Amino acid sequence: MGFFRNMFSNNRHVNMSRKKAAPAKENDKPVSPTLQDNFAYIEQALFRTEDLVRRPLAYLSKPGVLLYLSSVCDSQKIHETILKPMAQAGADDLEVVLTATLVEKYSSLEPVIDLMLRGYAVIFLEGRQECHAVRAAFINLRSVDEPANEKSIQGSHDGFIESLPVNLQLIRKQINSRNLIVRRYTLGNITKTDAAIVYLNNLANPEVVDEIDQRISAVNADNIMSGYLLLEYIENQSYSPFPQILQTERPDRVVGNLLEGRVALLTEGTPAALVMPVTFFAFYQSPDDYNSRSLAGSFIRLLRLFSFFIAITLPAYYIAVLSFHYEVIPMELFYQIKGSVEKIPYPPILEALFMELAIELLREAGMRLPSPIGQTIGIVGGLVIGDAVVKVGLVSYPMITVVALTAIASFVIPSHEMSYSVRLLRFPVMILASLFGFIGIFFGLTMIFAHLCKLESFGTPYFAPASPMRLKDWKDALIRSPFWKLNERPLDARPLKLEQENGKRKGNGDDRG
Amino acid sequence: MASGRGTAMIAAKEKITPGQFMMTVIQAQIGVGVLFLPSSVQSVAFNDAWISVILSGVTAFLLILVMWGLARRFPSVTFLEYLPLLLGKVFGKTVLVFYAAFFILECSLVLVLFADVIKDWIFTNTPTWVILSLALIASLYIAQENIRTIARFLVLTFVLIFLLVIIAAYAFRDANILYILPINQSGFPSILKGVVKSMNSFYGFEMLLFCFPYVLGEGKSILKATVLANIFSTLFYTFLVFTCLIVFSPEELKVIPQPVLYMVKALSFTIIERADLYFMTIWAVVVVSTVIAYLFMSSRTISVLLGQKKHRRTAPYVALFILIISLIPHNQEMINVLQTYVGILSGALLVGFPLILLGISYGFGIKGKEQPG
Amino acid sequence: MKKRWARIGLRAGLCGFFLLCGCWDQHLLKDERNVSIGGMDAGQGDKLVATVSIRDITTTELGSKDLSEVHTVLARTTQHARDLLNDEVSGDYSNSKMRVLLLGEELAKNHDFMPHMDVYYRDPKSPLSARVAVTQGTAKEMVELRKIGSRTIGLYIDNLLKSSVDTSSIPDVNIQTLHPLDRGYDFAVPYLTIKDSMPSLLGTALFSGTRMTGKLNLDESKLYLLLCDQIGKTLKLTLKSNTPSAPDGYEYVTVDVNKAKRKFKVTVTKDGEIRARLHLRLRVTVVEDPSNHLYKMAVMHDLERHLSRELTSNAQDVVEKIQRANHDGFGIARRLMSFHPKVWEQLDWNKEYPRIPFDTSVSLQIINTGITD
Repeated sequence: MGFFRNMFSNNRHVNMSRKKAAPAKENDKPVSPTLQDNFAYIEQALFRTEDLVRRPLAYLSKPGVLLYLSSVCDSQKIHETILKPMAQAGADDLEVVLTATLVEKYSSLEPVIDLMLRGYAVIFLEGRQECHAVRAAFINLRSVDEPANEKSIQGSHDGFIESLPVNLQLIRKQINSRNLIVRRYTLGNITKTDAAIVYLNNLANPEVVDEIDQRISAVNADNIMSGYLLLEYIENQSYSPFPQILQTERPDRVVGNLLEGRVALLTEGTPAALVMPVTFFAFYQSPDDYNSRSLAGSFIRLLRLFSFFIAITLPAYYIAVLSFHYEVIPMELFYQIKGSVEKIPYPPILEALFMELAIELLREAGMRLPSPIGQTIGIVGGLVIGDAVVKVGLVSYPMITVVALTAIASFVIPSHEMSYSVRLLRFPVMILASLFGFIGIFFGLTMIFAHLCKLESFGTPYFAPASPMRLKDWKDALIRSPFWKLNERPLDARPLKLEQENGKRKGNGDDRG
Repeated sequence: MASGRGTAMIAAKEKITPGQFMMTVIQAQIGVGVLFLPSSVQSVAFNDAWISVILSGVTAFLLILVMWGLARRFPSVTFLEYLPLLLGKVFGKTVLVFYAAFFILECSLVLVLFADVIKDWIFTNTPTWVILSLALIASLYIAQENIRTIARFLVLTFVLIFLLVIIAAYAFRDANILYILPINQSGFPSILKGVVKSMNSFYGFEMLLFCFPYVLGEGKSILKATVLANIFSTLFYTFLVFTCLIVFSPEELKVIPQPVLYMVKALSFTIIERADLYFMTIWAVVVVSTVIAYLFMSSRTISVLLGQKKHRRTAPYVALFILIISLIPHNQEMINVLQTYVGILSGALLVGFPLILLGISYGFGIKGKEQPG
Repeated sequence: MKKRWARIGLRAGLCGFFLLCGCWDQHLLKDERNVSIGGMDAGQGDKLVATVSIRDITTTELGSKDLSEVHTVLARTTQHARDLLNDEVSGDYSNSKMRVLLLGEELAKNHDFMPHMDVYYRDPKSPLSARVAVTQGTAKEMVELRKIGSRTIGLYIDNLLKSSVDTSSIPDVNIQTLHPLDRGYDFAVPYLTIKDSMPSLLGTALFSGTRMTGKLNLDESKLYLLLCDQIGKTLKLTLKSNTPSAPDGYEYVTVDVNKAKRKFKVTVTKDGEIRARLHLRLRVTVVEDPSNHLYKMAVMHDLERHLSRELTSNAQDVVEKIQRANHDGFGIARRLMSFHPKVWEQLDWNKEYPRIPFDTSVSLQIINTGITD
């Protein structure tokens, strides 16, 4: 078996004890009083990269040199905050003279080189055994637009962007509590990506936070470029079809979850937050539920949960009925369906697989192409192929209806991850249905629900509050009760404080009581 | 101690609430009996079958009391661990072998009857082993886990029992209350015979012996949960038997082995017809719940016999064994023989033995340690 | 690690095996030929003439088109007929979606048709909710009408029976409700005929045991259903008005029964005589009455009294007719079994029944007269 294992695994050292490779301790070079020495060392350390700029200058008639990497520094900032004040300087202390927000003094060169990579400019002055690193990073931010794939009708239209500080700021803006805590990590041995977990100190369960902290700290990989990469390192079961960490690009969704005692993980370069621990039902919630009134919100939410069942079972049900139990179709519908399928040469399972495959292809094609062409693909696929396929006699009309309904039902789910998993799950259920009819579907569903019962996300049951059953929490999971009814936070994240609001009200004559 | 866990505390992660325990017991009790009970009891107790079912419920209640009394004296260990304490190591183990055999046979019986119905009603040509392995794979997947996960799953599928009730209640349209009159026509002896026949459907409360230390809360609340579960099952079975008795005439019940299915077969609604197919599918899941409970109990017992700590490893082999046993009976006669064996074993192990054990425990003053904390 | 791969391999192997095995009990809808109506007639000797109409439908984007294909075979039993038909029909013959089963009058009257029904009760796929009717002449002639207008014969008769059941002209029976094992009452089924090469309703055929022994016309049939307490959604009675010398067109009144309350009591006197009391109380709406103006209370009460009298006499006629046919539609036998089991055991029911004195009466109350008085 070892042979197969090696064949499938590209990790040569899988059985070696994983030692955390300690960063090699380089001999730290102190700043030399001669400019040339310093420049030579830095040039050497950066392997003579050609975006290294050397700008000689004079400060209080002493010669000096400014070094920076032109690719990460903003020349405008260098001019405004370094060169201009230095030229007009009267005082001796450089830190007073420079107008940049961040000026640090260093006496050795190694840390300075790391800082240069992050957009600092370094000033060396002749005869001094220290240098000044000045932050002049070039910042190119896109605006905090509404995320394209998580649109909401009502509510805020902010979205996370690729910058960690901006994302943190978006969260802080909404929670002005001193309990909001940010813990920073630097991840990836090569990429050195900044990441941060955010939580409310007085709500999040310390066990959960510790668990997350441990899992993040244990990651030892060269490349943790984005949060999505990190996700698979820290989730409970990567082979489960269900996502156990919620990815969202909406600050309001993150804020809502933080206030339920969950933890969010933000990563530099990733326009999304990872929220954990979450339950199955979190993937079926959308900020719109909370921004509309409770009846409408509940209706939409029930509709989405219903769509879960449709997306998984409808094609399977249809296949089972057509190949095993056609007796269950009521009379008139029976003859209509019979008339449609009579001339189809293939059994329904092949019909369904063919159509499902076609839809998945269309979807993928539509997504890859630029939007005007993408729409054309949708029309060509939906109308032309759909019609032709029936006329040729490959697929019947009822099957097209079923497959289309299923596709729509799987798009209703607000989370892409969950949408993928539902689309995946429907295939085994379809195959079971084609083998064992209704019994097959039910065994498939039994396995799925058993898996949901088994699954945990950071020590909390994944299928809560349906299993373990906690009817109290249903009012914010299956439906959305009015806010004044949601006296307690859901139990699944095990928050420190359960009560979240006090349903007392002023005035009388309303339905609150 | 053979089990290796000894008096080790049960981790908080494995505890279940009394509510979860209640549903676990209900799910273990309600199983194949849904379809078989009405006609099998009716065959001996005639139109007083429903009285027999109620009396069986009462009997089950008494047995629960005995088992609870026994379990209460050993609040922190399971039956498997205190049995050797009461009977001595060698004899205790011998008795455990019988228990293991009983659980395995009961599980096989459930599966045999399940396959029988499925073969009669939908899959005439599908080989039995395919149907059985499908059910066993699904059960094994969850029965391997600890009691907490099992309880969670059983709570989830508990809803399906109500669906069965709703579908069956539809048959009241064709009901004729006159069929059950006159009451007590068959006489008390045949009612008692009916009690014996229907007892098999009530087994499942022996989960009490296995789960007692895992349930949170006082001994009294555990008793309450078990009794409530038993009441629910009794009401459910009585409802079904009663419905069948008033829908079918006594003569018809004689020739219809699964009256509940037959009853719903002719129902047709606006959007679906042939409600029996849906009924049977839901019933299949209810049966799987029972199989889960028995598979769990048998693999726990066997793990203890083999000195294994966890039952996760043993469960697949036990399942395979059960599959092989279930494949042996291929006609009604052999099923009846199996039924007799299970009946004798259950009489001895679930009625006789707990009483003896309770006597020994009180007589010799053997008690377990109080649950710490 | 090794074990893990072994496990995964096992699972994959199992899945693959299931897939390779194929589907044993699959019967694809597209390959089946579905019977929509079947007819049974008595053949020579003990043989059975079975006639079926297979409904084919072709759906194109322009709409659908119905076709009816009729086959007739002479067979020994129903199952034999199915086998013969399967040989005759292209595709797999299936009757699981059959809507109507017709019995020829000859078969119903002079033969016991129950043996032919056995396969319907035994086969899990059989259409137990199919309606049953007796036809004047042979069922073959009826099925061979093939199409009435754009509708196939099966659909036509099914709709005909359905709407007539709703208006309480005929009893609502299907194969399931016929199952005649010792129920303690006799069944009656709709009675059809062919008029101008169209199927039409004649009334109700009364059965005694499993043989047809009498028939009621549509008016009697309605009253019969009222007396049996089996009315459908609505029931309208058109009766002679109380103005004896009314001109043509003014002599009838139609009432819609809103509520019917039946009191039915079977008593056994000390010397073993069985008596039946049947009292019907109707609350009706007058929907048509050209001769009377009912704003006067006196007129209304007059009408009430008159209609009660007329209905009582009609009801007595119906009772007499069904007694003559030895048809126990009210379930007197069932009541005797339930309430007087000892009397029942000593009875020769077929002789006793026609002699039972009935005390039949109908009272009527007008509660509404439509939007004019």
